[in-house]
Amino acid sequence: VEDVLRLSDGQVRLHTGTLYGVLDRLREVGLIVVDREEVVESRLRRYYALTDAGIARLAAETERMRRNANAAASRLRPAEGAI
Amino acid sequence: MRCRRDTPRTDGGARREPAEALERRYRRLLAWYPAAYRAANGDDMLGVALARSASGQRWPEPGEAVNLIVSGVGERLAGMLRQPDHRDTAAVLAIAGPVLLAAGAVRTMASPFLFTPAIPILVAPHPTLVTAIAFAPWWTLVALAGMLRWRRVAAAGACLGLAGQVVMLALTVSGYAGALMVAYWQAAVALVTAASALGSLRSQGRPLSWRAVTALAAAAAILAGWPAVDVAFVTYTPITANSGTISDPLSGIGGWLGDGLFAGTMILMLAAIAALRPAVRRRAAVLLLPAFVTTTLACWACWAFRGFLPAGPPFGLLVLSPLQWQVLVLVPVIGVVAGLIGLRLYERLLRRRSDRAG
Repeated sequence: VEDVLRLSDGQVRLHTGTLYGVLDRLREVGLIVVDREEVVESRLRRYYALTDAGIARLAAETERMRRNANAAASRLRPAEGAI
Repeated sequence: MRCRRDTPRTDGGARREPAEALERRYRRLLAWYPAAYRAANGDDMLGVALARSASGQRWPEPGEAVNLIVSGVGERLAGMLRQPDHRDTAAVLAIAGPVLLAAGAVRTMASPFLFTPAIPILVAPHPTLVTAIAFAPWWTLVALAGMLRWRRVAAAGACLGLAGQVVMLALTVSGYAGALMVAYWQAAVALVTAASALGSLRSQGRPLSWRAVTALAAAAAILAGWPAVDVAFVTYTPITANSGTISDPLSGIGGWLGDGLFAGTMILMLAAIAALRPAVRRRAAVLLLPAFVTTTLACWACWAFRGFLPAGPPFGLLVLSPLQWQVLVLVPVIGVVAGLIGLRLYERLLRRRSDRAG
């Protein structure tokens, strides 16, 4: 949750219920697995890891978003020049 | 931790108190999740929720609290729909609901044509008539989509229909009391229909046998045609331009006729339920029983509500008596909530039996 907040410059504040809903769905479709569990301050803490399918999917999504961003940037450059 | 008043509070205790209060409140919010889910994820979730809270915070943020409640209720509903029998039951309700709504709309639509135009008080209000003309084919198509197992089409249609019924409800709040009653009950049925259609998206089986469809269609036909039977023999003889006499030879047995039609509708609906697959039939019966009982009692207790005819003096909400208010507001809510609780208890009973047998 803190990582998401930091990576998004405070723009995305993930709620606990939403986070666990997403984790459940990702686990159901086999994109993540429980990596390990630890007890911290007498409370269970669970760590998740991407599966091979999850890594492949993340790479594909990253590439798709990069292409979209590149396409947007290429449209933006001539417009900036015109200004 | 409880502190005695005469005991000076240490710094550590003062620091712990808000954290403990916050943890207690988060635990209460997590109670919205199913017990099995809490057992698997509760500790972990609590840790995350506490980690994102500020130092000294005593109450969960409102957004976080709402999110936990909504997610918890969603998890409970999703848990119910993981069972194929529940999904098939939802598929049945996703057809029965639109059939009921279409029958109600046809009935409203037919009213002005059945009554003589010289008796304006009996004619349905104009906006109600216009919307009924739109709703009758719409809900019929949603029911057909459900029958043909076009689940996504049925779900989309049910959600749009629900939106229309909610708009209709909002429009009738300042209008006729009778129309408001009709719109509220229709919106409640549309809500159940939309939820059922969404819950049945992954249902595999054929929802209704032809026998069940025939019984349901016959019940809908009685509901839709009831006003026609009521006024079939009513005649109006004008005396002057603004007055006349009404003759109703069936007025003496009108009550019995209405009771007979009501009983016939209920018997046909029970026949439709009886024609379902046993596992689905039991669940549908458990879900619908409270709605059936409360509606029947309400109809008998409050004569004016029988038939849900969109009429009544144009004085908005003020004409409703306290009993009518209770019927209007509480019966659909009690029906839905009691049905869901009944289904949960029934599943628990089945699990216990299965554990004993195992």
